[in-house]
Amino acid sequence: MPLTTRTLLETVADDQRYIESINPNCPAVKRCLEKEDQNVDIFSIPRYSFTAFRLSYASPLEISLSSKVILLGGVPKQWSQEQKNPIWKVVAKLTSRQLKKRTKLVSLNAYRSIYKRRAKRVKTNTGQVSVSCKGNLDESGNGLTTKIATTSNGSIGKVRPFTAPNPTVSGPHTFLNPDATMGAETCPIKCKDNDTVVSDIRHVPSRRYTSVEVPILRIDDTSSSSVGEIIFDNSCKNDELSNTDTRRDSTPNSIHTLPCKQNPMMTELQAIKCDSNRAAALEPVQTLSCHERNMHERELVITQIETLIQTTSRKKVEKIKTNDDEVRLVPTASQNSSSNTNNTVELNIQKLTRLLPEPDNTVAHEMIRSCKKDKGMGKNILILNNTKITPFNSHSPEVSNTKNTVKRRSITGLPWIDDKLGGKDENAPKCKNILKMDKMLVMVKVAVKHKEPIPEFNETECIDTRIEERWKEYIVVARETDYSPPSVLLQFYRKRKLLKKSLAGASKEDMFHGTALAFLLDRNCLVRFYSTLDKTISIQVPDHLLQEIPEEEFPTVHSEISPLKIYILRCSTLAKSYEWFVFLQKQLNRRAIPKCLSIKIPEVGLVVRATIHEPVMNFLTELEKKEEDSLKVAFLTRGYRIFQCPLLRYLTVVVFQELKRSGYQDQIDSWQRTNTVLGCDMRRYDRIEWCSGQESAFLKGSYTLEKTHLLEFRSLVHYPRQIRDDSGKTMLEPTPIEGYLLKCCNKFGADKLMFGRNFVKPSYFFTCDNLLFHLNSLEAVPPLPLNIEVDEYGLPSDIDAATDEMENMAVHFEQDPYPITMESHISWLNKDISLADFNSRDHYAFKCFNRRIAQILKTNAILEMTRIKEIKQGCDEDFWDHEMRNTFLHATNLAFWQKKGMVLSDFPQSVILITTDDELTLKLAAPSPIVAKEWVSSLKRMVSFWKERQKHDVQEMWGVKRFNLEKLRINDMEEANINEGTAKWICDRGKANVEQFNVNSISLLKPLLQKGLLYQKPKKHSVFSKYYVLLIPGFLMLFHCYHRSTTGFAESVLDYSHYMTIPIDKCYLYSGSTTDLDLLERDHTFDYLNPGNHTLPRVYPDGWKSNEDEPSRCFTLWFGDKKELIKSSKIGKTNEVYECGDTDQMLDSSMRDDADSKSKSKSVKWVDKLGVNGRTMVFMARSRQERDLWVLSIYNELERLKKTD
Amino acid sequence: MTLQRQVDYVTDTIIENERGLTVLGYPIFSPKFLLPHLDPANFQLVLDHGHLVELNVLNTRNSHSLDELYPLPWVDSQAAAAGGVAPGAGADSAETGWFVQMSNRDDTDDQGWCYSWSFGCHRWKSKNGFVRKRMWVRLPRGNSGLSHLNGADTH
Repeated sequence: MPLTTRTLLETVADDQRYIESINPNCPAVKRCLEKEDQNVDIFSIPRYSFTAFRLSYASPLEISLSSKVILLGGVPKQWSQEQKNPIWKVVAKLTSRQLKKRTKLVSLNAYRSIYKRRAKRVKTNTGQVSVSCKGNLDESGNGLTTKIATTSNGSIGKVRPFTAPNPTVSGPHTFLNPDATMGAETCPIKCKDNDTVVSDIRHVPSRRYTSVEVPILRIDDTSSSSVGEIIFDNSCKNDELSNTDTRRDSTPNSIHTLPCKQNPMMTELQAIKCDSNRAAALEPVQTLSCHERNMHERELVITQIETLIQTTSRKKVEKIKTNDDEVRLVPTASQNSSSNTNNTVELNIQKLTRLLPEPDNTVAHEMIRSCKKDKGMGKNILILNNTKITPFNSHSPEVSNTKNTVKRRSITGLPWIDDKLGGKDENAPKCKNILKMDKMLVMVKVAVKHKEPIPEFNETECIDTRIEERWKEYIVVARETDYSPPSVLLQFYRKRKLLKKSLAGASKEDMFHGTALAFLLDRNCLVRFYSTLDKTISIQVPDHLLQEIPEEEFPTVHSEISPLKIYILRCSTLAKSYEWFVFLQKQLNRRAIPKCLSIKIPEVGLVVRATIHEPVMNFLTELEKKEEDSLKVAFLTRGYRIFQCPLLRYLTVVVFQELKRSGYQDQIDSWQRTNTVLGCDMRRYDRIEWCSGQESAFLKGSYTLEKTHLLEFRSLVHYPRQIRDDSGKTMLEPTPIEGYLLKCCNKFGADKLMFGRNFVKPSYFFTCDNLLFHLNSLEAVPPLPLNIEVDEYGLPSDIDAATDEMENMAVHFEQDPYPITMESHISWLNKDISLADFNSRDHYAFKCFNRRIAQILKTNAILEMTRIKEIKQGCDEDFWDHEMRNTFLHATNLAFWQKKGMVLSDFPQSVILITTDDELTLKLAAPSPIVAKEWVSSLKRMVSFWKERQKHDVQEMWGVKRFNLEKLRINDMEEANINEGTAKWICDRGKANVEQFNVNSISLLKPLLQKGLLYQKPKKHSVFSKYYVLLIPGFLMLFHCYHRSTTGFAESVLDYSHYMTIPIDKCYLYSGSTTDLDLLERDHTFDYLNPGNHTLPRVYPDGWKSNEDEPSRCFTLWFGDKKELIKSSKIGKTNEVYECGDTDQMLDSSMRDDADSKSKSKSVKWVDKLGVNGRTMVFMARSRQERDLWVLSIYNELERLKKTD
Repeated sequence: MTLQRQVDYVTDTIIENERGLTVLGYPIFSPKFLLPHLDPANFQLVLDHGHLVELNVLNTRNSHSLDELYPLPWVDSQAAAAGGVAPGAGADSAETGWFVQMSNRDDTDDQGWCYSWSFGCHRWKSKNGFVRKRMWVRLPRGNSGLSHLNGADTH
C-alpha cells in the first residue's frame, strides 16, 4: 500500500521513523522497533565542520583510510634545530614568500568553504553594506535570490532580493517542527489520506492541498459562449503564465489584502479555493497584476492582456473590444498612493476560448510567428474609451506602411535611453530596482543571416554565427523596468564605480551606464543552456522589429531586420548558472524546474516518477533551514546513517517505497547491509555529474537539466581501493607513506657531479596515490601527534617542547585522525562527545588534510610510480668499490639524523635503489636498514597496485565505450560526434563509468582531485606542450614531463620537475566548442574514407583509440589580464567580526588577524579590470571522456572555492 | 630516436615526413617542401628490423590516402604468430584504420609529430624544427578490444 504524502513527510521530519524506514534490518533499529520506549541514538554535529562534510559523502571506513598517513623513520634532529635557527627563518621568509602565501591561501580557502559559518561577516556599521557568506541560493525553494546589499540612504539603490512569484501559498504558513511528531491536526499541509505523491504523476491530483488558497484570475473555459472572465490581481500564482508584474511590487500581495469596497470581486475571489476536486475542472487558473494609475497605466494593462493572449493562445483571438461588463481589472491595495486606485477597466474578450497554463518551450519558434500573426489583433484592441493607445511599443512608431520601409525604433534600441537622450518624456518607461546581479563572462555572437530564435540552439550551433564580442568579464545586472510588455533590462557594467553609484541611489542617469550591450529581455528572447557541461547560458535576442512588423510585410522588410544576437553567459560557478537560468526563465514566464521528476535507479534499471509539489518543496526547504547548522547522525550497530538534506531524504524514502512495491527488496537489503551513502546524480551519455548531498540547492538546480540529463539515484561511488590482478589475487591500496631521506643522486641519476663532488641532499619524500613527491627537507612539515600544538602552517608552536616528543616517535608512526572501531565507527564520534572535543578532533583532521595539500604545493618534483621498474634495498656489493663515498654519505646521514646506533656497516642496507624504465636509478639513504626495508616493501606494493589499477581503469573505460558502441549500434566516428545536439533518448541509453566519474572531487577525501597528462598552451599563438597536471584544492599544478637541453631536446630524467602553480579561484573555465576561439586552424589530414571529417585518429600506448575533434578534447582557463586600482569598498572598511562560538578558539589567531588586517588596511586595492579581453590557457586531454573528468573536477573545486566568495 | 624502438612490434607502420617551420603557433609544414633526393619521401613503410621503404603516390592527386598508398590487407601479427590467423588472411580494409601513434613518454606534440632540424638528426623534440615526422599504425577500428602497442611505453 503506497504511503501518503503526509506519511512520507512525517517520515522525513521524524528522525526515528526515518531511520526505521531506511535501516529496518539494523539490530539497533530492530531493538527499537521491538521495544517502543527505545530509540536509536541520534546526535548532532556542526554541519559546517570538516567531519560533517566528509561524512555526507563517505563511510567512516573510507574517511579513515583516506586520512591515514605513515611517517617512517621519525623526524631528524637537524630539522628541529633548523626550525629554531633565526637565519633559516629569515631566509625562508625571503625565499618562499610566494609559497607561504599560497599555503596560507589553501588554509583560508578550505576554512572558508568548509567552516563558512564561522567566517561570516556581520554588519557592524549601520547603513553599510552587509554581506553574508551563506550559501548562494535562497531558502525560498525556488533557488532564486540576489546578493542582498543594503545601503544607508534610500531605496533607489537598494538591491533587493528577487521575490519570485510564489505559485502556491498566499497566506502565512506554520510549518511543523521537525522535532515534534507530526500529527494530522498539526500538519500544516492538509492532505487527503488517499493522496499519493509518490511514484507516478498520473495518480496525483493536480491540486491536492485544500487549505491552500489560490487566488486568482479565472478564465471560464466555456466553449459555448467563448467569453472569458478575467480578474486581475497582483499575486501571480501560476508558474507558467505568471506575468512579470510581480516584479513591480516587491511584496506579493494576497487577495486578503484587497479592500473589499474597492474590489467588487473580492467576495468571489475569496471564495475561490484550490479544491482538489474542483481545481481539476478549473484547469487554467491565472492571476495577473497591473498598475492602474492613469491612462498610461491602462495602456499597460491592455498590453498585458495582449501578452497573455499571445503567449497562451493557440486559437486565434479574433476581436477584443472594451465593454464595461465583461472583464474587470481589479486594483489592489498595494498600488502607489498617488495612483488612481479606483480605476476599473472592463473589457469584453470575444472568443477567448482557452488559456493553456503552460507555454510549450518547444514551440517557441512557432509562438514568435503567431505573435506576428496577431499583430492585426494588436491594432484592434487599441481603442479604449475612444482613446488611442499604442500597443507593445508605444514610444516609437516603427512601421511605415506607405513606404514599406521600417524606421528604427531608436538610436540605441532602448527607448527610454533614447527618450533621455532625445527628449524629455516624463512618461517614458523607467528602470527600476536591480533584481539580480553577478560578475560573469559574456560572449556575444551574431547570426550571419538568421533572424528568429531557434529553440534547439546549443553549442553545436545549427546556424552560421560570427563573434561580435569575445569573452569579457562584466557585472551583469538585471533590472526591472516599467516597459511594456513587461521586460527585464540586462545591463553589462564594466565600471564598478558606476554600479556602486547606481546602487547608492544616484541620479537617474547613472542607471544607464551599462555598456551598449544592454538589451531587453522580453518574451521574444529564448534562454537555453548553451553547453550543459559548462552550464553556459545562451540568450537569443531577435531584433525588436520582428515582433512589430505584420507578417504580410515581413518579406519586404526582411533585409532590414538585424540578424539574431546571441548572448552567452558564463557564470563563475555552476550553482550561479542554475540560479540565473531559473531566474531568466521565470522572467520569460517559462518553467525551469519540472513538475515531475523521473528518477532512474541504475542498480535495478527502474525509473521512478516523483512529483514534488510546491507545498512539499516548501516544507522540505523549511526543514532544511531548521537543520542548517547541525548535521544529524544516527549511531547504528555498524556505522552511521547521516541525515542528508531533507529533499534527498524525501527522495530516498520515495524510492525505497517504490522499490518495495515493485519487488526489489533485495536491492534495498544490499544497500542496508553495506550501509551505503545514497545520492543523486545527473547523467548524460557517459558523463556523471554528482549532486551535493549537503545542500538541496544544487540538487534543485540540477533539475533544470531535465531535458538533457537523466536524474539518477544511486549509491555514491569512490575511487576503488582494491584491484584483482590477473592471478585473481586481490590487492588493497597501501597507506601513503612519508619520511625524511637523503637524496644521493641528481635528477639524471648521477651521484657524482663535476670535479668529483658527491651529490647529497636531505629531502622529504611522501606518496599520494600513484605519485612519489619530494621537497626540501627544511620546508617539509611532518605528520605530528595530536598532543603537539601546531601553528597555521602545521609546524610545532613550541619547537623546544616538541623536540623531545618527536625524538621519541616510533619508527613507524601512523597518523589517523579518524581511528575506526570494529563496528565501523569513528572511535571518538558518538553521542557522548562534547562540542569542544568534537571541534578539537575535527580541526586536527582538517589540519592533517590541509598539511598534505600544503606539502604538495611545496613539492619540487614528482615521480610516477608506474614508471618504476625495480625497487630494492642496497647491499654491500653495490657499494664495495665506493668506500670513500660511503663514508661521506654515512657521515652526512649521521649529521642529519643525529641518532645513536647508526654505524657505517649498516649504511649499504639503508640505501633504497629505485630504477625507472629509463634505466635511471634513484638512490636514497634512510636512517636505518629497518626504515629502508619499510620503504622498499611499501613502495613495491604501491607500484604493483597502481600499475594494475591504471591498467584496469583504461580497460573499464574502454569497456564502457565498447558497450555504448554496441548498444547504440554506432561506430567510433559517430560516437565521437555525440555532443550537445545529440537527442536525449540516445544519451539516456548510454552507460557511464561510475568508478571514473566518482565523488572524490566533491568529497575532499584525497588531496589529489585529478591527475594526468595534459597538453597545455599558455596563449593562443603558441604550441601545445605536454605536462603532468595535478588538481589540488585551490590550485592546478603543472610539472615538466622532460628536462630540456638548451637546444630544446628532451633528456631522460628521474622525475617531473615543477613548472607552474595556477590558483584557480579567480579564473573561469569553459570547454567544448567555445574553446575553438583559442585554438589555431592547423593542418588536417583529409580522410578519404570519411570525407568532410577533419579529426585525427589516434592510438595511445595503453590501447585507447580516439577520434574526436580538437575542441571536444579541450578546456580553457580564462584569467582577467588587466588590473585596475579601486578604492576599497565599504565591506572592507567594516570591522569584520567573526562569529565567536565555543569553537572559535580553534580558529588560528593568525588567520583571524590576517582577515582583520585585510579589512582594515585595504583602502586601495588591485582588482581585475572588467570589460576587457583576458588571458586564456588551453588544456587538451587525450579524449572527450578525460576532458569531461577534468572539467567536472575543476568545476566542483571552483564551486567550493567561490561559494563563499 | 625512440620511434625506431617501437616499430618492431607493429606490423603495418608508416612514417609520415614533412618539411616547413612554425610561425606564431601555425605549423607551416607540407610534404611539398620536402627536398628531392635529400629528404625522404612523404611516406615510408617500416619493415622488419627497422628498414624503411619509400611509398610513392602513383596517381597525380595532391592528397594522399594511406589506404591507397598501402592497399595490402591487414594481418594481426600477434594472432598470426600465435597461429590464430592463417598468413595472408587479412581483415577487410573497412574494418581497420590508420591511427597516429601517440606516446606518453616520447617527446611529441598533440598530433603525434616530432620535430628536428633535419631528417638525419638522431634527436627529436616536440616543437621548433624544420622537419617533422610522425607514425601511423594500422589497427582494427572501433568496437574491438584494447590494441596494446607492445614495446611502446605503458602508462
